[in-house]
Amino acid sequence: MASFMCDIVTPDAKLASVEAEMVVVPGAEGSMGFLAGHEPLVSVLSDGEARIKAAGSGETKSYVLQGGYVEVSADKVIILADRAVSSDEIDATAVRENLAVVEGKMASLTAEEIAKTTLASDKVWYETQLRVVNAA
Amino acid sequence: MPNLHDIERRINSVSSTKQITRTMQMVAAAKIRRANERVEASTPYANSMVEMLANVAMRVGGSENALLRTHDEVKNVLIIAIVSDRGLAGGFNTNALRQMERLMHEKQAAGASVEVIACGKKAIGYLTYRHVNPSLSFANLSADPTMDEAAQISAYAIDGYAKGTIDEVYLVYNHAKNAAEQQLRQQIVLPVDTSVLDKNTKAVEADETRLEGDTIFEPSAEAVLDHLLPSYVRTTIYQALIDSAAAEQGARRNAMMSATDNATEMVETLTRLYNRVRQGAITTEISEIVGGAAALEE
Repeated sequence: MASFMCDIVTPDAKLASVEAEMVVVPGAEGSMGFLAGHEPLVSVLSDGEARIKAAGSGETKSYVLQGGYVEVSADKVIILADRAVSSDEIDATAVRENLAVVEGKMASLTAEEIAKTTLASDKVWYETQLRVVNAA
Repeated sequence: MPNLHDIERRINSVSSTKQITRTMQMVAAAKIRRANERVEASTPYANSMVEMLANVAMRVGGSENALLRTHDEVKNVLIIAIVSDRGLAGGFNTNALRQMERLMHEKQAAGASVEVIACGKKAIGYLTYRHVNPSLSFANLSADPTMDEAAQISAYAIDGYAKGTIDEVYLVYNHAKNAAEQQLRQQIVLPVDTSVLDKNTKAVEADETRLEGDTIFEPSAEAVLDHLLPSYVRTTIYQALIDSAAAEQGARRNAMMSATDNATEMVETLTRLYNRVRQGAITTEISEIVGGAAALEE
């Protein structure tokens, strides 16, 4: 089957760059799947899971994304995300603990103080990870 | 003529200073590599972001987005000054802070009120001394800037800009041209400078193979643009932060390298002086003895 390059890029690093057969991303208006030769497309992504089916081995890898975009061009799919992590690397207990810490901190601050920090987005990030892990 | 003991003490003090500066030089050299790796790691994201934004901006044309609109009257200016937490880096901090001050005076002369976001202890100290209260300040992050820091700064700037309490946002920082050279940069962040995008738009247009047919935008081109712009601002700020971190290490290595060289030279000069003084003392002693012996013979 025809394949194409798929990159997952975050501000910190290039998380993945694989030869893919199919990519499924959580679009803002519902999940979208891309095969080779897809029309050029740019879309906002919602927080959730992206799955990449590697060409050749046919192995599917899953990544959790927050605040992302996807850009599909002739021979390439680029997923830009504020934060991303491979689902295999998520440790549900550690995430739960982090979530509890964040919630604890948020409880001790006023809404105005929270707006000055990144706690709210941290919370969403941990919740998204848990959601994906629990669904799997 | 200084006495032997004094010179010896100075030689010791200069060589121990030299040891310190040489160590700092080596530490900075090691950190340059780490900082550069970080800059490189973030480049693909920034590039894709700019490319995507240019692509979208071209399609949307005259957008109504608040971040693209220039405010007619500039009453409040926000300056984001990015320097280091520590000194001993040559002109690194001073240059950036002077540029910041120049910009402040320029804007104040034009009748605008200026507020500052200070990144790095040196900026905080500089402002406190001049009785300016930074709107936001970040300490202990200059060597390892985080995305959170950039997110906080951009949230503040975007929020203010959208509400109309801020009319212009500038970044002042040192760009790491290469490991040895730093370049002071002043960049306008908001309103988003469309001329930069235009340049990229042309690049996108020229690269026609990449753009076969019309790109689909979901949910819509405007919605994508609304999402992209804040991310773009944040990315710009993050890039500046890590760029400045790399420049800091480069500047420190340069400063420490010349300090080490100067110390080596000074030790050499002092050693020569020490030897001359010692030789002088010996000569005096011998001539005294000879003089004494001659007196006895007579």
